[in-house]
Amino acid sequence: MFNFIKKMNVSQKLIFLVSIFIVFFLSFAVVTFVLFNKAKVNGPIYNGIASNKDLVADVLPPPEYIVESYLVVLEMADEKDKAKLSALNSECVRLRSEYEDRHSYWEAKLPAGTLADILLKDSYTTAELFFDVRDKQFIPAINSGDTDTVYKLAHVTLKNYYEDQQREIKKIVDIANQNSTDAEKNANNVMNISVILFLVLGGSFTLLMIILSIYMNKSMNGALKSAILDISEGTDQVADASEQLSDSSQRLAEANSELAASIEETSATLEESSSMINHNTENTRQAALLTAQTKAASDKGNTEMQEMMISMGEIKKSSDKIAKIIKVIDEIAFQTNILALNAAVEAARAGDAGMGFAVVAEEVRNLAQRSAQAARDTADIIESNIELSGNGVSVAKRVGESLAEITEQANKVNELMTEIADASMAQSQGINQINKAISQMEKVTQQNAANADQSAAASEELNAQAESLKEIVEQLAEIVIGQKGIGELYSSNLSSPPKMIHSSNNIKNSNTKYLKSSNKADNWNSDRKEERRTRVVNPEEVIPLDDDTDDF
Amino acid sequence: MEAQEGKYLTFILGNEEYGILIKRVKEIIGIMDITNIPRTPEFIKGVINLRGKIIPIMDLRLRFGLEEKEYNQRTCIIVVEINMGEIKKQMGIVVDTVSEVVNIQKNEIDPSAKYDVSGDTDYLMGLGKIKGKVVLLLDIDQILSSEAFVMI
Repeated sequence: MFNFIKKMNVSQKLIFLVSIFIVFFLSFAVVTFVLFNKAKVNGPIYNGIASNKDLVADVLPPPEYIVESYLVVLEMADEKDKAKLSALNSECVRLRSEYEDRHSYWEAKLPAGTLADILLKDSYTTAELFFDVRDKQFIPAINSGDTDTVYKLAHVTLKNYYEDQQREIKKIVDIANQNSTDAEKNANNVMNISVILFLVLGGSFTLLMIILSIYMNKSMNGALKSAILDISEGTDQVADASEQLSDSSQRLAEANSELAASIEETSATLEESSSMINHNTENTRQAALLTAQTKAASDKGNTEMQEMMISMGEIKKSSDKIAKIIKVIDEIAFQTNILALNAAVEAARAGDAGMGFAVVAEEVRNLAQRSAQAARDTADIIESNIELSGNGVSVAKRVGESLAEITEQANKVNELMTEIADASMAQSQGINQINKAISQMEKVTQQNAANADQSAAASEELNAQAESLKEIVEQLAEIVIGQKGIGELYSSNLSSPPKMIHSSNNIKNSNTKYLKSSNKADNWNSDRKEERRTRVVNPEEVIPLDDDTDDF
Repeated sequence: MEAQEGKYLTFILGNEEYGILIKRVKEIIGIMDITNIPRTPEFIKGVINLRGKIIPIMDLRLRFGLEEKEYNQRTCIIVVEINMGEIKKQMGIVVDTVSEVVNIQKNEIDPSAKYDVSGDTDYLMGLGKIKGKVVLLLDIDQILSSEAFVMI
């Protein structure tokens, strides 16, 4: 039933509202006027009330007018029945109390003025006089049965007072009536003025409403249209930005995962390095042990070599001794040879007699030769022994040198080992620090991943928000401009003034970049929604944020 | 004088082996201290006291013009008997070392006349061939010149 209202745009609604308001206002005016007419002074209602009051006034004896009291007085003057007299007495009391009541009432109610003076002072005074006389003189007279006094009071004194009061009352009536008439005239005037004022105000108000509504409608429309275009432009840009954000989040997440992979590799490499260093340290320790052993062995070798040198020295000494002995033997052999030769000479000189001796000499010579030969052989052997010994000594010397070299090398190796151990220590420390740095990097990477995730989620959120904002803007456009007008709006956007939307200039200048914008003009609702939906990137697909980092 | 066959005492001098008739050899002794006599020819080394007898010593190396060699324990002095006509004198010659006594047959001797080119090889009686070696057979009498002989 209210669909037609929904389909109206804002300006239409405004006009509708204003029209309804004017209509109601006018009907209200009319109704007021009618009621006013009915309820006005001298209107039908007023007249009805007034005539009722007049009727009551006509039928009831007025309390302020002491006529009823005077009537009762007169009745009492003529009444002989005690019962009735007491009844009338009560009536007197009642009437006076009524009078006092009404006096109090009007004292409070009546505004100061002539009327009040007359009623509350003049007529009251006379009335009081009447009542005083009645109560103080007449009633006692009645009670005492003083007929003359009764009569006199009733028909003279009280009557005079009554007539005085009557006159005052009449004055009051006249004045009141005059007041009433004046009031009626006044009311009529007021009514007339009010009507005129009402008409004038109403008319001008209505006119003003119409003018204002038209003006506001126009300005509102213009502002809303430009605002809508701006918002939709802005929303487009937001959507673009959120897409870029999503892209960069994705890239960040990819880069981050690469980084995490590298970190993992580095970590693995470090572990290898660490284990190698440990291995090295172990090897170094063992090498140091071996070196110590080598040193011990070489020292032992040195000691033994020294002993060998000593024993070789001993050998040489004994060889020398033997050589001396051999020399002696050789000399003996030589001398023996000479002796043998001498013997041969003598034997030769002796001629035949020395033949046998020559043989002996020859034999001796042979012996000497053999000795000499044996001595030479022994000397040769000794010489070769000495040579061998000398070789042995030189070999031993070389061995000693080698051992010394070995010891030196072992020392150097030890030094190097110490250096290696120190370096390994330093390497270990370095690796520890690197490990710390890597775990920090891992933390940072995780944070990065979380941040990228947040970023992606935020960009998703942003996209969704942009999307919903777009929808809201569409709804707003529908509300403001109406479905029909939207197409007009966006087709007319191409030739709208520059101040409205900056992109419109670009559309004029470069169609390619803002081809989307022209698409907007063609298919506003559905296409944009399509675009937006396809541009939404699912972060879960892009950034697989598993807790299980082994997959990296 | 021509070499005769008989027993020769061979000795070594430098690289060569020489031989002297054993009849001429008195004694062989090892090297001992030589008392130098001044103003004697160089090859006359001096004299020795051999059991109370003074015997002049000649260095055969110097006599033959060989390089003088330092005396060692193998160096021997051969005491020989030199004949100058009727006079017989004893002299010692220093040789590197003595070898042996050999018996040389006639067929083992080569006459020295073949080698007498310049006429200066009077001292050489001949060449003996023993055990593949060549032994220069010395004529001991020719070794000393007459003046020197007189001197001693």
